[in-house]
Amino acid sequence: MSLRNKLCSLLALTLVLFSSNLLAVQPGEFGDTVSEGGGVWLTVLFWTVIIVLIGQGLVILGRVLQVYELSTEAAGTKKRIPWNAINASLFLIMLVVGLYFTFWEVKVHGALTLPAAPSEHGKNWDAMFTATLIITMFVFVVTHILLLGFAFKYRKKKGSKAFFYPHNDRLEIIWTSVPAVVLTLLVVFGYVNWNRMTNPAKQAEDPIVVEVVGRQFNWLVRYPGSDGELGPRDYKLITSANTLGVDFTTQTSHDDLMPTEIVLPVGKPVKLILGSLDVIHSAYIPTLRVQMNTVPGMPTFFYFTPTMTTDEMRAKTGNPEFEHLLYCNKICGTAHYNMAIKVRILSEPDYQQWLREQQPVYSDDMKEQLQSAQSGEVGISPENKSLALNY
Amino acid sequence: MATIATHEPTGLHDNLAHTPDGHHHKETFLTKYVFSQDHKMIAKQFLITGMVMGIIGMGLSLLFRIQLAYPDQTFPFLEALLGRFAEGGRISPSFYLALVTIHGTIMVFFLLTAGLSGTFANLLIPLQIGARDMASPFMNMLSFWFFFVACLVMLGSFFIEAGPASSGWTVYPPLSALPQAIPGSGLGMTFWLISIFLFIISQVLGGINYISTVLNMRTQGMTMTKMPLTTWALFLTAVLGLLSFPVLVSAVVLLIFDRSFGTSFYLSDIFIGGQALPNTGGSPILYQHLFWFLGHPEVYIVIMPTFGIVSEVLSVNARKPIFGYRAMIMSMMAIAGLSFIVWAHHMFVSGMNPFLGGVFMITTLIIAVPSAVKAFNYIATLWRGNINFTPQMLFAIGMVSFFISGGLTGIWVGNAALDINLHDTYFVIAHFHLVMGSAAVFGMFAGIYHWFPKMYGRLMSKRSGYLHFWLTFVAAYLVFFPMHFLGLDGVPRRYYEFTAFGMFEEWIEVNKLITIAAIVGGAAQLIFIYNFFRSIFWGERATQNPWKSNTLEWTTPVERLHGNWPGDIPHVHRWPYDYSKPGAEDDFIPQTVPYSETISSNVPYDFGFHGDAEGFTHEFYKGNKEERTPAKD
Repeated sequence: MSLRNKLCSLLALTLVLFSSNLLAVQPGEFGDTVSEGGGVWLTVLFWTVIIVLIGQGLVILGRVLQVYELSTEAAGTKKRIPWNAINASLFLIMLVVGLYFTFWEVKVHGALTLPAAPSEHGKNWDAMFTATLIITMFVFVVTHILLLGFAFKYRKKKGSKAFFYPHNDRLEIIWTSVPAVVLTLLVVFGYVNWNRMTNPAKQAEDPIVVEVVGRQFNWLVRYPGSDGELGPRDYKLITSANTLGVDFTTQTSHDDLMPTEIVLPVGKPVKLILGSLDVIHSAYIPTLRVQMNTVPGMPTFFYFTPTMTTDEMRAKTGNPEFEHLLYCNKICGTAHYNMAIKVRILSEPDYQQWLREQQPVYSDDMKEQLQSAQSGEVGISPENKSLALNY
Repeated sequence: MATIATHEPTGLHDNLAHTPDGHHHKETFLTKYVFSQDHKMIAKQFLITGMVMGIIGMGLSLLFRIQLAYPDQTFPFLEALLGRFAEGGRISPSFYLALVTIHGTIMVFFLLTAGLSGTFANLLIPLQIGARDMASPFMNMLSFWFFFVACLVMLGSFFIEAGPASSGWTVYPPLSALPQAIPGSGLGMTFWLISIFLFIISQVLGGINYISTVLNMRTQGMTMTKMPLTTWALFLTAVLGLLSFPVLVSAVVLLIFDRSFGTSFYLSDIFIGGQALPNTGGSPILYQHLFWFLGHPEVYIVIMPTFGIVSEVLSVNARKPIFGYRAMIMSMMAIAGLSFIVWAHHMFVSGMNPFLGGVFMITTLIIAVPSAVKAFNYIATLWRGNINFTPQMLFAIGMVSFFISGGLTGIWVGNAALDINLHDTYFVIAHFHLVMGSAAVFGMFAGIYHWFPKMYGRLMSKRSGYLHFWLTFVAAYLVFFPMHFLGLDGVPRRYYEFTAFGMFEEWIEVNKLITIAAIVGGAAQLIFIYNFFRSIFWGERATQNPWKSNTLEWTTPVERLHGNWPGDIPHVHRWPYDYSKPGAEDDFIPQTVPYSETISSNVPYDFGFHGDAEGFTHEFYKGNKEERTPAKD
């Protein structure tokens, strides 16, 4: 005890001596003190002292409680600290506060979550979300009322005895089969929706095809152009000019478009063909309820139909800056957090207008570069590659 | 064990620990504390190593939480602590990813698999089934030392030039396979793979031991259906681990081949760093299948031991039998079996055939049924109990709360269609940190407070325990509950900062709340650490059976002998949950008490009658004592 006291007063003394220095170091000035190093250790020391002091306070509090308990015991009075009742009551308080906290969270943070989905399958997603939320929230509240309520109600009391109740087959059958039935409903609901969203056989005919390819750390987009067919690509043909490795020797690739954003018409089914040049990425447009990983060496697909233009969404959400973003949702490297591309939903005429403005990627420039590459020049180098990084 | 077994009937084990010359047990410091083959000492080694790893893992999480909450501030102490990984007092993006990766690896494997199973399986299996030690004490020792070396290798990766592995704890290739993809995939990833390889050896050695001990070395009368649920849980956990960890070996070995020997198991059509790689024909999805074939049973390996611990703790402290003992065993078996056919629910949007997604959604939601049964049975155990709020009871109730909260969101993410928009977002983080993070850690705390007397012969301070529980309970909910809403707004996990493209700025305030709660929660663990180490030396001395518990470990002396019982191993006559049995003198009847000594409290259920137990209790209260089946034993 005495040693601890000495240590404690020593630390307190250090704190007093250095506190004026410490207070002078404002967060904004931290950058300047880095080189000195002394400021850093002062901060560390400061927090160590704080923690030790708090700990010391707790230890003293514990001692006081202990002494109190021992003295009441010695005095023969039976007034000990009723820890059991205190803990039981805390569970009851926790129940009330916790339920309020849940309500507050749903109200305040729930309001910050995604707006209703402006896509066909997104509406099903939203419906399922609501159903699942109601069911799980109900179970959450009821089980917690029971769990924490029982903890309070059946706390140990003087003279009380527990009820020997080892099992009840009927009850167990009920609470096995009720969740089973509810889960079956959710499974069926989910299975039908999943099938509708992802089964290629269930998708609309003649969708608009857009290829989205991830690489470290941006997205490349390709439209098939007027012939409606994407030209083949091969990762071995990739150069700094031909970033996707499109095989321009085939006719179908000549009218392919490579815009810098994804633009889609409202109300038309879309088929995203997803690919990756290096590692696994994930193409994620949460506002449209779209997500699929992009896998090197294997194309993946996602089908959806937007039902509202971006402008309509802006009006509806009351946010004039609302945008759909497609961003990476699978850890893909250092700049994983900064890999997004805009998705604009336009009305049909606007979309056609936009489409007309796009130039095929197989331009005269490209032809020249490809020819020079074929004639033996090295088309790619790491330096060129780094130009494409957007961080 | 063979030697011990041979001597057992002669009773040579009296005062075993005190007669060093009577046997081959001449103990030096090295054999007693370092290369110990005593299961109790190995349990303590696992516990303390696991705790150290847990503190490190938590520390890492606090570092990246600081980055998330204050993305534009500098913290000079970070540079002092981390050097080149945090130049200018800001954690670098690649080191941020290393932090989340090693945090996940340490917490899942080192704390909640080895720290949890290793501690309690080693400590409790021999004590609760009535064995003198594990089936193979030597293998048991090896298990710990492989684990220990794995820990060192994993931590060692912080000291190499490019930093530790940083492709997420799941280390999906190609990111983890290609050093040019991320700095951590160089030597750091090699360290990670070696460490996990050693770890798996440790788990297999331990698992074989636990299984063979439970199956072969139960004392007389200890049938499988008289085993405490703790032992059942640890046994099933070991089975899961033994069947699934070898599959992770194959995933790891193939990844090592791809990284070092130019094979293409997982690599295909890759253009990276300005170069087209020669690999073709591999599939990154193959790795995901192999990984999650372990990875999903793994989350049950994490949570199942705490099912056992919590069943025991709830029952002892509510002074009531666990409700539905057989249903508890059945549900654990169902969970163990089903856990092998749900792995692909981690891969709904990985690009695998959508038909598979549908199948795995069905199996996944089926596994929710036995989990629900467990939760209801826990609640029913509290009903009309006589609850004694020891710290372990608080943690057990907290565990049930987290298990329900996190389990319910499992219904969301297990639904393939909903998972489209929730996959890899903060919703998933919230889900698994509640259901297998907080719940398992709380179960582990419950176990530590409960069995501390069996490890050190002393009690931990209750008052510190209360404070520790309430701070941690509130902090954990404050940390993880708001994360659901980040996920519902489409905020991805593993993002270094939320400001890159102006979509999540409104969540930075919430991040501050989470980080402050996490720091408070972390500080609360200091109370636990202090309490733990203080109680080892200066805690209140424990009595032989401080919690008035029925199970066999409380019939061993407080001194913790090598060989566990000074005389013969006790025989078992009844199930372990005869608490508050009507007609009994005390509110507990240890397993070693034969029915012939408890005529006044025997009920037909004790002799295999499985009818309505409530009916019989009512009969008893009516006073129809003579009508009940006479006792026989």
